[in-house]
Amino acid sequence: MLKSLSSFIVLVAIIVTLNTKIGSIPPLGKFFDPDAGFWANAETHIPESEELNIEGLLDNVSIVFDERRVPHIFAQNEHDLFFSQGYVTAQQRLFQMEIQTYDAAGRLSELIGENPAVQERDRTTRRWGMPWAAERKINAYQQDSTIWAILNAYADGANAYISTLEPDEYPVEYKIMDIAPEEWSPLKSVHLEMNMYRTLSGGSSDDRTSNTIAYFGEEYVEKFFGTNPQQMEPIIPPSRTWDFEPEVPPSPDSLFVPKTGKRIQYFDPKAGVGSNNWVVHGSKTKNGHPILVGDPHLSLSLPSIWMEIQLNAPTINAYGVSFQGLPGYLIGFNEHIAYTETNVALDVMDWYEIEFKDERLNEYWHDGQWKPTTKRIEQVQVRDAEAIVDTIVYTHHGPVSVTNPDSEAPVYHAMRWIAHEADIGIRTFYELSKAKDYDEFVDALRPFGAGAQAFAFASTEGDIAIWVNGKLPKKWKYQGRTVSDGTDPAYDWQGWIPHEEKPFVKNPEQGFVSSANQEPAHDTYPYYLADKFAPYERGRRINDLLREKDDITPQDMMDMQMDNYSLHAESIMPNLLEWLIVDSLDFEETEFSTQMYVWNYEMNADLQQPGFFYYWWREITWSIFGDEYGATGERLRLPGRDRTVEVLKAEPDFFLIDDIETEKKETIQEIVTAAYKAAYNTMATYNGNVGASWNWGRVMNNDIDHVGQIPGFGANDVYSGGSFEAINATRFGYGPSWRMVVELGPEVRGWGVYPGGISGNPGSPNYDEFIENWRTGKHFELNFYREKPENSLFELSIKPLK
Amino acid sequence: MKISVLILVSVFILNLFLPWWSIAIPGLLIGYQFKEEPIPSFLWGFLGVFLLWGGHALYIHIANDGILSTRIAEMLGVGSPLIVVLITAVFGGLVSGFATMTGSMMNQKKAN
Repeated sequence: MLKSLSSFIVLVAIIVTLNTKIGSIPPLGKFFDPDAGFWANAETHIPESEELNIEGLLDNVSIVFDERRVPHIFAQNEHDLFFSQGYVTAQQRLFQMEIQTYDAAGRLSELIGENPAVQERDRTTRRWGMPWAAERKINAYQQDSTIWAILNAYADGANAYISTLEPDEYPVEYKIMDIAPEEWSPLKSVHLEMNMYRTLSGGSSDDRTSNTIAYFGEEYVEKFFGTNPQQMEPIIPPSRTWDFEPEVPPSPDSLFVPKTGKRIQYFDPKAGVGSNNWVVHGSKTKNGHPILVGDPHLSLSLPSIWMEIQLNAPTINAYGVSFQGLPGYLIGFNEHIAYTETNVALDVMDWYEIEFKDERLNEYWHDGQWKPTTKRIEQVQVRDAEAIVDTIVYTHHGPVSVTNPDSEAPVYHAMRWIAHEADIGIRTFYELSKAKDYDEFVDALRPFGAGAQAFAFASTEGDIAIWVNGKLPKKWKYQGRTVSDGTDPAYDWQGWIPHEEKPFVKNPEQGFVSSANQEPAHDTYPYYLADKFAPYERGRRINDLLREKDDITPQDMMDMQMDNYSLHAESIMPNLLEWLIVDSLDFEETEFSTQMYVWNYEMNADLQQPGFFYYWWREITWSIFGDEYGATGERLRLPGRDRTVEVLKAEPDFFLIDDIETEKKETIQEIVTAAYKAAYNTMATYNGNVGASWNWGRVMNNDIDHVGQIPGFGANDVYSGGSFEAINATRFGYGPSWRMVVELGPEVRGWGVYPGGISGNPGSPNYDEFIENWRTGKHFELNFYREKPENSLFELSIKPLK
Repeated sequence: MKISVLILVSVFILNLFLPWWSIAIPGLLIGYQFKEEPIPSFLWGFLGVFLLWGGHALYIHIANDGILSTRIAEMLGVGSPLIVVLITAVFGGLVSGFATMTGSMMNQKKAN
């Protein structure tokens, strides 16, 4: 009796244990069940064509999957088109859609449970006003009947798919985390939109700049941040002159000195977010039609951030890459035009020091009076634990993000951010997908507010152009570069640059346009935009190559996207070798140095010099700035490598060269030599003896991680060349997340590749199918069908459920 | 041996439409029915689902070219996807073994 009872108890205990999530370990019995667990997600054959009946459609739809599984939607009206896009996106990428919107809404704790880092991230998201801004945008979208209908159609389509899912059909990440999918809604699409803006324009160095001025003075800051390197070529070429009367707001008499730059809660954008784009005019191409080229640089992930898709309905025929959760697509082409964007790091996030009346935080001083705040309660639900409640205080600038509890006089900072505006950015991408010429393109750009982007353009009519677009605040010179005075209206944002006065150029004499996150315009441009842009090298290299080239073909452009040449190395290597004290090197270091003398400055995967150069330059930077900057104990702003190179060459005895931690005064030769030895030591420690293990393709450690950071679900060590400063901007898991070339005639043709697949299922061979082509620069020709094709890998024929 | 085969077949059918822990039910019933000694009951019960789950997982592993099992193996930190197949077989076998043993014990005491 006792024995069978205890056996039964053991049995029940085992079942319960294997059915319970313990920490981050999924319920093991459920998880390993071959019928319903992760095994059920393993693809054992190519999906088959299906006929479906779905409620909510107005008419028949065909979704055709080509040989790479790219979905091509053929619908009879726009409602069904976007409904189907929601359906197929949920079908392929549900986890990616959900995890990104949970993140943007500050709801990760609901999925992950108690975890201090996750809770902090969610609280920061709320303090940044991300959910609040999404609600503001939703209100604006509701006023636009077309876009509101599209957002709802997309959500209905996504839900049509989600509602059919049984637990054994959930994507494998859901089984690992033991969660279930949630219903989609227009609000979730807008959360995703906010996430995109956070990635692209969620950075600020106001506090760093303030501190740098405080410790090193205005002249230092002017020298390193206010001065452009000689080689810099702004996006808008000098041939463009400005013929309008600008209304630049007046600057205050003296710059506000903040009480402290400490502790502004920041969200450092991932390093290397940027992009390339360029367009060549028909006068420079072999067949006389323009060619448009683009590669957005983002954190590389699996599934890819992008998904290729074709949208075909009576009013649209377009091909592009979509952001999962947003209807439409962001980069691509239709039968008339093509477009692609790069990030322009305008200063559209400013921090304001706020003076509150008292610790109740109900009133703050502005423009000579006390003004009321509003308060918003944010509740962060935590799985299996108590919710966290935060009260966020809002001023007219924006949310008050953080306090400084250490000082005697508490310092509060409010954030003004372009992404808080009630703009309807999705409208721009909708209109672009249907635009037929330059004028329609220019009109389509208007609704786009957040995160200034340089939109490159080409049309079958032969026009090329580039527009720095977004809602650009009118600022006096250097306004918002440092922490601003929240009490003084002179520091508020005072209007927007009119659309026609934004920096743009159409059909310039030089026969091409390009951008690579550098300075948007020359000093002749009357409005202040920002002073922190990418170093000149990538933009310059693009322009140098385009100037030389003629009879350009699409293949030439695909090859150019893989260019690994480093102008940075070219600019400083001769000096470094001159400064190197060869007598101080040991035998092995000397032997390796011969390689550096013959290096061609190509950051190629098979070479050993690029990795060494990367570490060498890094050591040099640290030894120059590390000691003086470290001594302040504050967050400071590091000069760009291009200005650092210029200053070093002009002033080899610059004061920062000296190591303040030693008595003697170091020379540049000593610094460079010590850095060489340190770099050699690093390389040898991590990579062993000089040989294939020193190859840049290995040293770069290019891992493509899973969107949810699940080990085993990414792609490790994707052997590639490239660099921050090369056109092929691949490095350390960041880089060209999509490479696209479009020829605008005689028929519009496109080529493209990204490091991933269509399917977001790690159990599918299609999940990472395109990585090898991406790695080796072999773009696929894109199937831009004019009509529904007869043949396909598989097809969904969908009829409305009556 | 008959026990294992009976359990294998009934678990296969049940698991198609019932949650995973339903694999315990055949073991309880069949163990009760055959009322063998506890240890043999456990072993035959274990074997039945070890083979079913292991076989099923192995089939999927092969048909999928090991894509997912390799990823899961890395996620779990085990050396090879075949270990993932083995773990699957062991979990299933464990539950069924204890179920069969319990079933046989419940009948055994009556026999005494």
